[in-house]
Amino acid sequence: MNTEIQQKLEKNLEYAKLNSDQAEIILTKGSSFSTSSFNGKTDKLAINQGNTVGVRVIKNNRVGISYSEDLADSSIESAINQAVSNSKYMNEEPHEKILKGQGQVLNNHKKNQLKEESTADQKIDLSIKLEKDVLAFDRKVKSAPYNGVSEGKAEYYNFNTEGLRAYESSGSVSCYTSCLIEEGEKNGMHYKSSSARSLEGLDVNFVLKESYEKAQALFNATPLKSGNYDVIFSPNTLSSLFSIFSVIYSGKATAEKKNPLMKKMGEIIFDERFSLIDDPRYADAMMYHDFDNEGMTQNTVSLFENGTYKSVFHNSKTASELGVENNNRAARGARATIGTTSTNMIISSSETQEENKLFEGNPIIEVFSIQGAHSGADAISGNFSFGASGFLKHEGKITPVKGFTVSGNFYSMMKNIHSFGDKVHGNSGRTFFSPLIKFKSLHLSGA
Amino acid sequence: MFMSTESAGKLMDHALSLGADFSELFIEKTNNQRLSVKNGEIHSLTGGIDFGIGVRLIYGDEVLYAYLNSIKDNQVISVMNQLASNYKKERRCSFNSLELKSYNNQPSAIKPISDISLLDEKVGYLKKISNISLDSSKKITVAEAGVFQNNQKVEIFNSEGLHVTDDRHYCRLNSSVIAEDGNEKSTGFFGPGMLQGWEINESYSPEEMSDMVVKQALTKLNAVACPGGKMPVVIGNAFGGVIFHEACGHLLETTSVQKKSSVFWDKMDQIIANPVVNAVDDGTMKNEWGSINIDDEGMPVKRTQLIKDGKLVAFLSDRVGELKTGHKRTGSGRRESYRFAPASRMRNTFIDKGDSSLDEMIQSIDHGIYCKHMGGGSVQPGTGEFNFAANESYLIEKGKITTPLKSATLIGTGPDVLTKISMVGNDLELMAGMCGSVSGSVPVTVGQPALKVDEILVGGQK
Repeated sequence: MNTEIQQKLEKNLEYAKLNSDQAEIILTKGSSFSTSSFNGKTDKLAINQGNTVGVRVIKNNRVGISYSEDLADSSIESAINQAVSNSKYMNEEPHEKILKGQGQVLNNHKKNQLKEESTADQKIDLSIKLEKDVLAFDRKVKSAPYNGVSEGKAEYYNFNTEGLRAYESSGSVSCYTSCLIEEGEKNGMHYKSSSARSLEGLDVNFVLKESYEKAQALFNATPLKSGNYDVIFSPNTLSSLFSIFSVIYSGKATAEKKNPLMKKMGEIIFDERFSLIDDPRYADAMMYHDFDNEGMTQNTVSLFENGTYKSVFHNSKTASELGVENNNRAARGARATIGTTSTNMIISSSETQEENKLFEGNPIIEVFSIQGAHSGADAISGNFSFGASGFLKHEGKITPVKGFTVSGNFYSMMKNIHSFGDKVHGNSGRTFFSPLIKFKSLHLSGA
Repeated sequence: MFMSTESAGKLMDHALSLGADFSELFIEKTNNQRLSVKNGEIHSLTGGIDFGIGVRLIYGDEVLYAYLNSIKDNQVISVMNQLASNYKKERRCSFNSLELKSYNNQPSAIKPISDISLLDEKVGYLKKISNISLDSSKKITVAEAGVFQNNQKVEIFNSEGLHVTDDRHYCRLNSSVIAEDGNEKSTGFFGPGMLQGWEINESYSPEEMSDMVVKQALTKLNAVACPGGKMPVVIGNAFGGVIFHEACGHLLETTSVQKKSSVFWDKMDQIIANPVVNAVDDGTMKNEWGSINIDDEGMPVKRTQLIKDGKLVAFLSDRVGELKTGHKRTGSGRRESYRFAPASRMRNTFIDKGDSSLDEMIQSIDHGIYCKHMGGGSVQPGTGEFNFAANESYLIEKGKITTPLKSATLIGTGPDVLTKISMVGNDLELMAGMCGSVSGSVPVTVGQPALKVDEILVGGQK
């Protein structure tokens, strides 16, 4: 924690205290170095240094927020005045309080930090190598248009008038590449990325192989015959689906009556083998979380247990509004109102089978890419329809297929599961873990 | 405005002394405000000030970019030195003296964000929208309305002697509802925006804002499963243009042309669309959401004809695009904020009107669908493969619009669809949206008259 920043926040908090009943000041600091390459040389190089101060005040039970990217004391005081002024327009909010949390909170677990900082040259070299290696796979590779490496650090301070003095820090490195294969009118393109805590930790070979092999599959892919198929989503696409329908585990959405399943809490609404937890300290995850943004200690939360809807994520406000216990999943950025968020989500099943056996029987579509996921889905009704690419797997034969749509209703689909695999897979960001799940009979439209 | 010409000159001369061929400073201060009302009560009021500087150095065709929140000379010089550490060489260019210019083609805001007395008026207007929606049907359970307003002041300097300022006022309204009937739920959304101040509310009555979303949600509530497969589709006007924007417009930006990742990179002066198609990107339109006086490289914007009678006649180009492809700049260098280097981006992009009526298009189809209001979507840049959801769509049977449909999705490739547009309507309209790409999220309008596409893959539930 930087002493100069601490002193600045204490000073501004004093000013806020004079003008409100409760106040909170958040300061976020980020810095990064990124490079991208094309045609064997650096295409773009960027150095970023950004700060934002966010203010939340409560005066006469009314909440006001504001922010400033200028860290001069006069600008922060203006943001405080603006927050106080905004609060006058708000209705009284008996459920929102600024908490002391656990008081002195350090959320800077070693696992979340950069293991080793790399030099600019190392990142530039890796970016150029990514393009070179993709082009070397095959003469049909027309180009690798997007290649890059980025390394960044982030810090988060949250000081409030109740005594919370929270500090978080983290750092990460990422790389990406893409492969475009083209011949005549046929083409296929795929993009892959990897994140880690050091340059050496990046799975560069996987990124290269995936970009090339999936681009090749898309190049060779054929149209799919329309019909109903059993479908297995890849870890990344399944993670996207669960993200689109996140209203069903958001306390904020529930309190705002936007959770379509809110009246079914405690009921069995999904397949009875299905369980979903949120574990802040899951061993294989990228990030460890000890405290939420209200400075409260985080523990594992069960969202679904054997198909039964158990809970949603809460902060102190949503828990108070809904009359339940807070499970400490508060999220508060410098610019936004208080919300809720997940940490690491893990799906499990009470009954699994050997992963290979999932692909036996009827033709299976293994979806590895979905397009337009957010626009093609309605979280309220559960209906979705989006473009997809994948593999048709039947009787040991694997055929790449593309240009089809997969449609259904997410809430019905979760009741209609054929089977679960016996291995756990993570998404690229290592925030979502699940066995492969074979969903029964979704409608796919193709040629 | 933000920096003295003396400081700016000193900084850019420093960049040139490091061997850069070109240097640029983009300074921005933006005042934002978001207000939302839910079920007749104020739900949130947020806002604040964005402030920072973007520093761009170009060596040959390599772009070095940095941003920071301080415009102090010593801090800017420090990041310039960091940027150039791997590129440092002898001075190759001399600095041209600065000459301040301003362009005021767009009218200034009548009711700017700085007028804090407008807040009460905004609250009253939004509450009215929300209450009208709630009162319109017992099936409407959630009714929200909101306004986003900002004022972006920019000052741009470059080593060629450019010094320009611009004062941009944006205002966007939104209205949305959730409708419920038993276990069935649906939503409606409408979000017009203009390059102007709060006076936008005079163009949209609360009744109109409510009516658009209530009708949409109630229609979808009773919708039936959409058929899947290849069929003729009529894509409605206004936001229907999002398909052209995503699946073709992005492929006409030099950002993708320069990497040859656009399927159109080598198609200049060739027929790429049915001859009934004319497409334009126009940054000069009065008060439109995607209009600007100058682009974010300081160049006055223009009207750019992209496709003429089916033939590709221009790309959208920025400074780096011109450097790498030779296509002249079109005033299309845009960025979300100082945090992004500029890139060639669309402004107000639309397919120009033709001479068919919507009725003629519907009557020409025996079995197909009419997508009245399109939603969002995405496109694969290299291949032009797209995926778009329709927010409100209907079955067409024997030349007539019949049953409302749920969750229709259109997929295809931009180049393929362009050749399959067989009828272009006479009802051109534009609609505001936000476009995300390499230089962040920028305000754009999309637009078109109604179009008939002879065959497109529809993703449905049956």
